Amino acid sequence: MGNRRFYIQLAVILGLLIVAPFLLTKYYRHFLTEILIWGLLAMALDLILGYTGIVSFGHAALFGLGAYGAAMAIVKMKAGLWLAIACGLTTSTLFAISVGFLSIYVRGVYFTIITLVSAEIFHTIMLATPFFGGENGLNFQVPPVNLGFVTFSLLNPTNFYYLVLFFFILSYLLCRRVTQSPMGKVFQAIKDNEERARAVGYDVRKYKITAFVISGLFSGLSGALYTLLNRYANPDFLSFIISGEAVIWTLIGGMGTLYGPVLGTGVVMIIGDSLSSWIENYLIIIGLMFIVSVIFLPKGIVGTIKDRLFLKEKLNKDWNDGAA
Amino acid sequence: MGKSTAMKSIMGISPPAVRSGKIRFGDTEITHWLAYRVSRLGIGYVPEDRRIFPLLTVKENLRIGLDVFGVVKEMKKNMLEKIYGYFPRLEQRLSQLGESLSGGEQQMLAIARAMVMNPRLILMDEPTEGLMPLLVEEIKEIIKVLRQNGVSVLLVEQSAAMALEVTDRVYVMEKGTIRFEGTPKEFRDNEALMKELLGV
Amino acid sequence: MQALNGLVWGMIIALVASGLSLIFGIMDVVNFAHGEFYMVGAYLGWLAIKLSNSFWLGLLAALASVALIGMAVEILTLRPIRGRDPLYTLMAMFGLSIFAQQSILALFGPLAKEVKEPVAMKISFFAFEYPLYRLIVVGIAFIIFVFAWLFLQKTKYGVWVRATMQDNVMASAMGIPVKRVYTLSFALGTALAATSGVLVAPIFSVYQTMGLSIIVSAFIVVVIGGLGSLQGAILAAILIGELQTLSSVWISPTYARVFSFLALIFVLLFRPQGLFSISKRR
Repeated sequence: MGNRRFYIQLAVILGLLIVAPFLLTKYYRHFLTEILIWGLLAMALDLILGYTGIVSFGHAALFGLGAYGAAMAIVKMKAGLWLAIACGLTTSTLFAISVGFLSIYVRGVYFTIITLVSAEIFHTIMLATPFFGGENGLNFQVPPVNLGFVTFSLLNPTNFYYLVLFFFILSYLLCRRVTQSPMGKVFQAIKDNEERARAVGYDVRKYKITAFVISGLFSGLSGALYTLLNRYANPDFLSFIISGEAVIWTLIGGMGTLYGPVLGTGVVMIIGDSLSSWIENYLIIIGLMFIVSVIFLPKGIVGTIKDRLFLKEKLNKDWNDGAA
Repeated sequence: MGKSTAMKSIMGISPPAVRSGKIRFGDTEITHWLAYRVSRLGIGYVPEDRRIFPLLTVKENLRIGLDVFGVVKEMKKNMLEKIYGYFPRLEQRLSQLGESLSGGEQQMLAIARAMVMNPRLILMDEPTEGLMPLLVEEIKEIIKVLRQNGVSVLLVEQSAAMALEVTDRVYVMEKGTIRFEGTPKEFRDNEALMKELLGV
Repeated sequence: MQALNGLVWGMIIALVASGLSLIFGIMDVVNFAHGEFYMVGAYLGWLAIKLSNSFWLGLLAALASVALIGMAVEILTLRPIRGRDPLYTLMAMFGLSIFAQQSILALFGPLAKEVKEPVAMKISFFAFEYPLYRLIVVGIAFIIFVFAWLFLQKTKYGVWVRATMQDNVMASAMGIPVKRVYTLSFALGTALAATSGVLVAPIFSVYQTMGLSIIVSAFIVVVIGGLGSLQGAILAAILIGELQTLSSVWISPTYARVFSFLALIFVLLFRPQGLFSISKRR
């Protein structure tokens, strides 16, 4: 029953998204494409933050390495689109696996520290290494998409938008599949009470690594798409600011819902965009909004709305039961 | 709620938080007070499993209680002397770390540091648990001394025999409700109840 | 000579890391915004020095202001979320660091600020001359640590702090105003970071991302030394300071930092609880 409702809602949103490019101006088309890409990153973060309870302050590394993976493939190997994306994914996933394995040895907060530290270190590496383009990063041309029966150029932003949309929906469905699978349930159990999950017999470390790696995969995809969209890769892709923004979007949208963080991304980006016309450092406001949200609205937009609805439903039910 | 939980609620130790009803100490309502206020009001606490500060010396453990109030140096010294009188073994171990004491000594320290604050009421949660009979006797003596000095003691005990010996009033709790309240004599006279609750 | 630089740098990190370790040891909070207090301290110091024309006055002013800011942060941000999942505290502090960094950027602009050394003399060692100021920095850090140790071990309030670290529930039951201990400890921890920021200003100048770069080193130090252990933090800091400076003799300074990262991984693999961590009662 819930499933049908879900698919209807999904279809509606998908419909809107498909039609969107024709209704928007060029600027907003690009903006929407970016929202989808960043939303994908937020979604990936939600998998570990909202579902498994792992805090990562270094997701920019996964994002940035995915971007560099794709960019390097194009620049050094003259790769086609799919290969480039695959390279990006592989890079970020490998990084996630390495960092994930380190986490076997450390407990919760130390891991968060490691995510922050490794992201910064790799940021530094990318900045300093000429092989990766150093300070200026890499620039390249985007190869055309070859689907076998039709080839079209991605220089057309609308085509690119649909490519992104494709990956976005695909990722969302896959992530949703994960969260609803038995493995996903274990993730949530770990977030609720790690000790209990361990006591019941689950190999918590294995599950945490898996969650982190899956998150790394989708983060890398986000990065690869971003670099393809902008046709460059830059050490800033691994900066602390990006890690921070990802956390902000995820929390403000609503952790643990997958679509919440995407909504959060959209909302914060739109607010940021409007603010940036008045104030240069709009991140100050965003940062403040975030802190206030952590204190007063920890469940984010989606979470708080869901709570209200749930409360209303419960009150109604109690009322009806009482009347009966 | 259980006996220990009741004590923790009185002391304002989190969790639990009181959901209904009130707690009053004399004329003051202390239902939602935090622990440090409760203790400054004059209620001392000797928790289950003692919980002395492991990395502080015996002397430091004791001094905390003293230094909390703005008490004159003279009075502090006198208080300490008094406590040493009751707990000679502790005086011998003043500069040792809390964690190096034996179980019995830790229990003594836990009681001593509550006494050092000159409280009107001391909450003791299972003070004799896991102690040798000799030490149990010593604790009984301490409780009697406290009573003589006008300090009320709220004692939570599994061992009914011990409790009945040292107390003026008995409350028997079973599954969260009070099944009996009265004097020890009244309790002992009520054979039926004793049989049911204690299996005697 | 590089060895001396390593010591100086190590002390700078030690001041920051000890504040971090202290805050964690007492309050169980990993202060992700700690680097920003260092940075804000440096900027406020620069401002105060400019206004008062005295380095030392500026240092004190910056110290005091950051302590006040730290208190405000603790009361407004940390207290309300104290009982919740520690996740939220991490995120709140993280949000704070973004807020702080961007605010400073907005207020002071993107150009780095220069602060002159208050003492320009050089001391002659065997083969080289060394700036006296840097030795003074080491001296000051050393004095601060000694004072901190004395405070914790010998004073009444030091006992309160140590008691709270070991068992905050019983500390409260013994009449210690734990909430106030938390606020003051946080303020102290951040003041330490700010002091470090002002002290380092003449050596490395003042810029927005200095907070981020120091926190990376501080975190590495704190993980290696063990969260909650002051001696661990100090020793590990000197180690890392030396490592970073000495290795920068042969490789570029940026890569030198990668070395400290590798050291971190090494320690984590073989002794994950750090070299000196304390066991805490929850």
